[in-house]
Amino acid sequence: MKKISKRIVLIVLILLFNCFIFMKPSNAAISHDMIKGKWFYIKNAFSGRYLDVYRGLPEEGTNVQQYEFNGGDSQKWILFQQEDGTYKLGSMVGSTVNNGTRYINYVLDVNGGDDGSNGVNLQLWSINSSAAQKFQIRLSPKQNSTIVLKTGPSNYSKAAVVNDKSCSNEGNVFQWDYNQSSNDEWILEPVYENISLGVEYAKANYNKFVEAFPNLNDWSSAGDCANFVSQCLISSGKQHYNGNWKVYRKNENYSKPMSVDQLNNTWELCHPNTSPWISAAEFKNFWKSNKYVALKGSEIVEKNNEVWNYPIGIGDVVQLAEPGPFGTVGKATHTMYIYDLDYTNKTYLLAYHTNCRIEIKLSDYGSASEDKYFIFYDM
Amino acid sequence: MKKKKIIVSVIIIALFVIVPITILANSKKKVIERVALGSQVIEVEEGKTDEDMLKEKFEGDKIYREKSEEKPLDIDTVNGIIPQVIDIPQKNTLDTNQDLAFIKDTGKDIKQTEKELEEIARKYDKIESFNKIKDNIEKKEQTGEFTDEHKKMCELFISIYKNENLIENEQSLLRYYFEITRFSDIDNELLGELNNILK
Repeated sequence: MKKISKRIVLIVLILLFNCFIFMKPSNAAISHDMIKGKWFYIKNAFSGRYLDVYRGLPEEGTNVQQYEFNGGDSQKWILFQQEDGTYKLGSMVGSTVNNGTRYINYVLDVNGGDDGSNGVNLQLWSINSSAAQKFQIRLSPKQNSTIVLKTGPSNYSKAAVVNDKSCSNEGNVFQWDYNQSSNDEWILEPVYENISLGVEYAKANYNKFVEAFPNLNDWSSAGDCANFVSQCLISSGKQHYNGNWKVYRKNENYSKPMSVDQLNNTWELCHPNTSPWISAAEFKNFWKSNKYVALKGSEIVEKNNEVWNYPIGIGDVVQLAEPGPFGTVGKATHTMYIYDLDYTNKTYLLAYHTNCRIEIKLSDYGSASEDKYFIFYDM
Repeated sequence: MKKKKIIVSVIIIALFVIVPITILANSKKKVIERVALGSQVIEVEEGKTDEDMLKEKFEGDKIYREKSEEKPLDIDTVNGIIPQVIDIPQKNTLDTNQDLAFIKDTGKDIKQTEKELEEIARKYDKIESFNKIKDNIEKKEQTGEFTDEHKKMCELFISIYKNENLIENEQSLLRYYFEITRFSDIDNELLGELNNILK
């Protein structure tokens, strides 16, 4: 009897162990599991410029600054979580490859080792075990998926900050008090495609606005829909800044521009009338090679099963468009991000700006807009 | 008896080790590279790609359909399969008036525009060509695509636009037509022509 009981206990323990392995990770906001051991471009949440190793110089003491996107080694950082939960930020700069393994040789480092003062510079340094190379990564209290990099020498009371809210290339990054200001915060953009992160960005920001991007919500001539969806795409590593596809802040003047002049004053995009970041119509033109199909709202309702079986899913985009002359698809007027699926109703769940909505069913939108076109983009 | 004990113990240990390894191996993501920082070595794994999302969609749908066919669905059953769909509480419903109100009013009704374009074609002796092109358009399935026939229609009105006798109202209508056509999927040559007219 005793032996049988022992065996039963053992079998139960095995089953419990297997259940533990298959436990689904939380679907909450960005978690450590989503970011540790991954390569990122780290964008300042105010200027929109990226954490950058000066000229990509692989030397101890090389300054770390902000710079516009170039996609090079100087802007690639890998997050190595330590046993105590802090992170080392390894730079691609100066890394070497041997026998199929990449060896990181330089990490982000607070100059001076244990100096927790304001103004201490951030730099590149070879790996050691000091607190100068340890950073706590915390979600911003704004809950908009931006993070704070808290520094070891300050006992995690201060953060890596862009000096003086600089919006220039080579704006310096150093240790300073964390004031919950956007220039104290950063956005992790994956180097490799990671749609889960795009989804988390959509869920966190469907009703918020990150200061690294213009807030166009109240500007009726523009609207914020293409802007929001573009942010979700870049947060999923699907697309990085390239040519006309970019937006940088020039100054603090107009975070919420209400005219072309104000937009031009504060933001660097391609010509404002042709930027796919601020115009649904230009978004359509820019992404036309990704267009899968266009159909009317009435067809979405009639052909629900067919639409459900399209090769379209989470991380893809749907636009609303006016009918054009003689049966064509006309001007796009609204842009929406597919962030989840509704299996019960076999439809897509949308998040979007201008009205700041989430969990809108595409099938409902289709029946409310029967005469309009819906353009599906396979991103 | 001793032999039996050994066999049972081996089977139990095998289950303990082999089953999770097998299942973990099947769910393992693609490794991009191995990276070492000091004494730490990690495998950088792919995040979920577009293909992964599609695969999950169709697999999830298959599971959902199978379960719904077995017995009437209840929340507890569905929660066990696809918790992320049911667990998120309803945050918004589509408010047609509010959600569509912000979309910029594009002005004219498109059918009205087409009628007025037809009148212009008639006035400038292009009604035969207009009707022929329109018939060809209507014969084909309406998919919203900007076809060769649509291009011919646009070129017809470009030729009318160049007519010196065009009055202001007609010019305005044609410019409106070119403006909305510009946003269709037209080729660069036509786009260039329309941009020239509209600048």
